[in-house]
Amino acid sequence: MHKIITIAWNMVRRSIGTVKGVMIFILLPSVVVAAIISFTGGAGEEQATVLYANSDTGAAGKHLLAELAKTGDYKLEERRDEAALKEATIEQEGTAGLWIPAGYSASLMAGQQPQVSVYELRASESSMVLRMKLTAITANMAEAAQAVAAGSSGTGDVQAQLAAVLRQAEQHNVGSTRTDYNLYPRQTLSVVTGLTLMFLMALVTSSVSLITDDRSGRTMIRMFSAPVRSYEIALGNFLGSFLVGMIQILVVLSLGRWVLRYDYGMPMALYFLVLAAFMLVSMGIASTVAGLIRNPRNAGMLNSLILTPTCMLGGCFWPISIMPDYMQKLANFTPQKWAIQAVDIAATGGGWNELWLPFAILGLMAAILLAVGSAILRPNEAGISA
Amino acid sequence: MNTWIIMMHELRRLFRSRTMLLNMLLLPLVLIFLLGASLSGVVGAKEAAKIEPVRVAVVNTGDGGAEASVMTKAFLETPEVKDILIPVETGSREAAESGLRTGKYAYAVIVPPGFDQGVQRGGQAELEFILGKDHTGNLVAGTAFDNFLRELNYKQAVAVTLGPQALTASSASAKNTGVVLGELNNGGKTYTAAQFYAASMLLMFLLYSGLTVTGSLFGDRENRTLLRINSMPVKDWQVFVGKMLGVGLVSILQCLAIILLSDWLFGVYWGNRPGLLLLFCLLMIIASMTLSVLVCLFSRTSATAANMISVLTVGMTFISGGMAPLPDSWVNSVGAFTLNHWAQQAIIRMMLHSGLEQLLPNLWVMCLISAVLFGAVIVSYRKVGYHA
Repeated sequence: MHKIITIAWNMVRRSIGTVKGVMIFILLPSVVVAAIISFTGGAGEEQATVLYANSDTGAAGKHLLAELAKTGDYKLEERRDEAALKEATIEQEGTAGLWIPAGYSASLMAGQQPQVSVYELRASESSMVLRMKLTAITANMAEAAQAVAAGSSGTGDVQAQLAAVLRQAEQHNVGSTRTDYNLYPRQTLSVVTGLTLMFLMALVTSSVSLITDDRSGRTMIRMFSAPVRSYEIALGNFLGSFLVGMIQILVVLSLGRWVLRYDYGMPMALYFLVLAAFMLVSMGIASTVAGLIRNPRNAGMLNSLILTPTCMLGGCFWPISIMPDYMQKLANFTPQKWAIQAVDIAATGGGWNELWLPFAILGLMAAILLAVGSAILRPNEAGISA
Repeated sequence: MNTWIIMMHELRRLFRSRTMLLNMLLLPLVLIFLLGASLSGVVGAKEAAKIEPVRVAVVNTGDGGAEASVMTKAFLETPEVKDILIPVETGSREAAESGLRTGKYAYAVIVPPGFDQGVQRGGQAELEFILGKDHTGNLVAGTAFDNFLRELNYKQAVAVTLGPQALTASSASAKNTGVVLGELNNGGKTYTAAQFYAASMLLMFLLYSGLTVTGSLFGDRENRTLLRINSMPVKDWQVFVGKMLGVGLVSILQCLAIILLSDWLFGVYWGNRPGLLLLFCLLMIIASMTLSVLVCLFSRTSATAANMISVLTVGMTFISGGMAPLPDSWVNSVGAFTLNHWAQQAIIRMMLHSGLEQLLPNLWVMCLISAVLFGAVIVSYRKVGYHA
């Protein structure tokens, strides 16, 4: 035990014992993660910009825009015509572009089922929601227009009648009030968690690379000539980089909580626990990869081969629920998914009766991967640069 | 001649490394597939996914019984709504609130007395919603009730302005959706979101070729083979240029492979100007390689250099919006300071068949960036050099 602690302590001292080490391993990552937290944490509240061009002279086009503006979720910006709208959408000046064709109201009255177009450069959650809202509003408008057309039976100015109906609808006499006690987790929490997980994983890679450096530098062989066992070397190294990881998580979390005042919406200790469990799994992944690949430079590359795809699949960048079914099943194999799920459960106030599952899975993953990693670390062999 | 030999050796070394090939060819294709599959099929996937029914607490604050809203009741009993909402009659507002807090209900609706009459009279009528703990629950129940209220609102508006008899006339409703996804392109194939991510991933991997540069420059130095090479009748610059040519060739091959394979395997359409596309890729390779040469020349260990290049690559791709959707204001302000931004916009324009004059500004910017970086490399190489 004593030997393990010595090796672990040496590992900690080597990585964060110097000013430069503190800069690289503690300061830089926490600043990066903190920047991400403050950036994505604030981004959720920002309104999405919707560009529009309205060639319709009737009431329907105006009504559609008025209803959109009323939701309060969008910042509407006008463009001259359809070509300018497309151009602005390609330039990414807004999340989506809305094009209302000329004569929209007229053909609505004629019962022709006209369509408005939505332009988007890429799918995102907000452009999806926008399309859903537009679909609902246009369907209701079509119904109202039909009622007007049927009711007037050709007499009087139908356009004026439609305008009157829509004006009345804009009053929202029938409506709702929303009482919000902020019971649900903040929408940005999963993004913040996802990006934190990604950076933690990258960080672990860098501290595990110290272990592989030891091997290729033949330091491990020398260690091995002292009266220590192979498993003691492996355990000591893992314990050391785990300690470094703990310190990293602590600094990142407290920076986010007390300096940036980001409200995680759940007990900090629990959040720490989730991140720590995830840290163990990613250590397992990194050490397994390091054991497989002898050349430390290639090990770093192979890690990126694992890191980015699993982060995407595991829902670090976007919610898993928008992915197709088979991808959601695949996501079960990534540790990120379980970590995010644990955070979600904890943030909605779930107790250990629900939390045990993600933690058990993370623990199992960590145990298996670390066992494999330490088995193929083989400190008695020198690194081969191939 | 010496340069040639070194270049050939570099090529052989790179192609023999399995990790290298995996990283350069497999990873980008995997990422393009993941991004394309998970983000472009968004709408279809949403419909296929089954929605868990949401428990909704319904509180009639009137005298109950006869006073309860017939309209809400009728709404909650329609078959489509029954699939997604499970209404639970709750006695009081307090009971509903505590149920929300414990997670017994996911959503609560307070029906005020005289709601139906308010709607029928054409006056004010409002339901109160209390949001619950679960994000999806709030979304599902909120959307369902919002649609219900909106429909009532329009019906009321029709009745108020045209008289109640107008309502009975409108029974046949159009089942055709009133919104279509517009075509952004000016001819050519239909644009999909997968193309956006294919372009951003291609650029990210061209930036990653900087890592190959560090491997190549530091590998020989750390193995002490550079010392041996230096003892031969080879000039420093010949070694350097040879290595860079090798890495550059591999990057070009990688770029071609990504474009062709993504076209064959996933049907990603890369636009109507293959020549210009390659030119942009070439400029991107030059820019990323010169950038990483600069980093390498001024860092002492390969680990520092590799870390810095990874951070730069991931950071620039992220800030330019290539990985996950970012707020709109960022893309054109901060994003403009990244290499990816300029090349990506040009590639997307080519996919959409934009005119040449719209591509030229991006081309000039890329040329300028590459030229500046190239000049910086020449100046710093003269100062620092490449030797053991």
